[in-house]
Amino acid sequence: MLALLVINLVPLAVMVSLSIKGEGTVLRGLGDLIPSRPTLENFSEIVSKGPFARYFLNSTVVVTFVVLGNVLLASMAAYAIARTRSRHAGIMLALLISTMMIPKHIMMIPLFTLLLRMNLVDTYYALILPFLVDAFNVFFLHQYIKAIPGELEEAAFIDGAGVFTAFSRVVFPALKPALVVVATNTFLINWNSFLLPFVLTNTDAARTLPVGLAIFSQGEHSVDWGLLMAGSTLAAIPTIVAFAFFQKHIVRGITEGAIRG
Amino acid sequence: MKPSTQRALFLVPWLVSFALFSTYPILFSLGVSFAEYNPFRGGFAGFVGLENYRNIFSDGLFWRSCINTIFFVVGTVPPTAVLSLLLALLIEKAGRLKGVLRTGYFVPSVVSLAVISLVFKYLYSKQGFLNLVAGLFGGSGKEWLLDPNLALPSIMVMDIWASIGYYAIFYLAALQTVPQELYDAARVDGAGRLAVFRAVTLPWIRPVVIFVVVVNTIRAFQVFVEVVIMTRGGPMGSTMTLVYYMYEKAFHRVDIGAASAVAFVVFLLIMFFALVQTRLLHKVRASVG
Repeated sequence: MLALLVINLVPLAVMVSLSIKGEGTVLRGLGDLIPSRPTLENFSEIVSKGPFARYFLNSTVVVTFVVLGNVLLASMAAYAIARTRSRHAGIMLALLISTMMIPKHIMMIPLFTLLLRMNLVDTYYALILPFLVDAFNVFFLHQYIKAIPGELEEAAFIDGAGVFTAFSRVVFPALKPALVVVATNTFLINWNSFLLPFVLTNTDAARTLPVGLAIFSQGEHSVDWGLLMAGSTLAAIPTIVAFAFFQKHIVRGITEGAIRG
Repeated sequence: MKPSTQRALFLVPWLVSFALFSTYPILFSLGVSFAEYNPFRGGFAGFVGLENYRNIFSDGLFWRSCINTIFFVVGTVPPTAVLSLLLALLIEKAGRLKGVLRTGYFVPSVVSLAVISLVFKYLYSKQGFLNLVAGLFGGSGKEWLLDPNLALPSIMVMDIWASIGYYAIFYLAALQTVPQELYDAARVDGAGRLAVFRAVTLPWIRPVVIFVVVVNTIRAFQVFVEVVIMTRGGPMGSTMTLVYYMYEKAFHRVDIGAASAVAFVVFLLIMFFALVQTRLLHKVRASVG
């Protein structure tokens, strides 16, 4: 069983191995996999030369806004739905579910033409705005909020608080565990996202990591695998770190989605 | 301001996003598939009925991508569903190693598919890892991604590898909900391991199996990243998939109408397959469970 696991991790091990290998990337034998003189020169080269640092910056900026946006806006929408009369809530839930079922590919062209007409192609706006409020997050949070008894908010209303105060003082803090799930899942999905960022950007100005790496790998000159693997490793590290710290939340986000389905 | 009005305001960001970025795109796509539209040159140029659809249906490359995509789906979804279930079962029984195994197997799915495609592009290259291993066993190296017969299967193997850990998580969660009494009862009746699996485990986790298969199918139909990074539809159209075909139609030929038509065909295909699978798998339930 453990042996199978090791085999399963071989591709990623090769990726790391190639990143720290100094001379050339031609493997003459299995022994070549363990570099005799590991070096970080691929990492320093890719970070200083070329657009890679820009890609990393773009990904970071985009992901930050998308995660914060979802944490705030999706919870607000979820709160409104959870505290609404069931008939209206039912309609909104149906809308949410149908949004979740839409295959992403169908967004490719219309999103592009829409953003083109708004003159937002190849900007951060294109990579952030369409993803600020994800239907799944709203749905997930709405389930969670429904389980929170409404008495505390009632008490706040009696004390003269408005809805926003009730939400921010009472409900939002109680949402923390669910928000961690939302934040980590949104982070993972957005950081790794390729299809739409690929289509919505056409210069290095706004390209995110996955897209940038793909473009880099198709350069006219022959591919420097060492550099590419170093870049890939750097792209993978944030998600692996997030996974290491938040594994339970990630798993929870996935499985609660499944139980719904 | 009434509380209900305030609450309604809370909905605005989501509703705006929903209308602008979900509803509108779909309706737009449907509409454009019946029109001639070039966003770079004057925009909308009139409705043309079914011409876009006739256009793509008479394109051999379109049918090629249909076949390739269906081949991809049929070739990756069942193995993934079965292997990830096997994996979940093995992990379930692993006792102390459970956490390590679950983590280790899940890591590939946390990494971007783009990164995975790049790594495998290297692994599959002439001087890459796979040929190295093949050489150890006396085989000769191949150009896995440049051979029309090997390119698509190579991508499929990669896809299965990348997915197994992810779907195993669903199964693991489901396996943990099986009531112990059922297992005990079955064992008291003298049932062997396979019989227990067939009579107790499988029927109990059936909804999750259906979910995994359907979700995986929907994702598989949209295979795109791998093609962009590894083969660009080649060699000789052997890895041309529907979404990549659509992408080329839209962004290389700027034939938005035809591309939108493709988008809709794919959408209908996905809905059709998802429905058929759900029906079929529910019927199987009746005969086994």
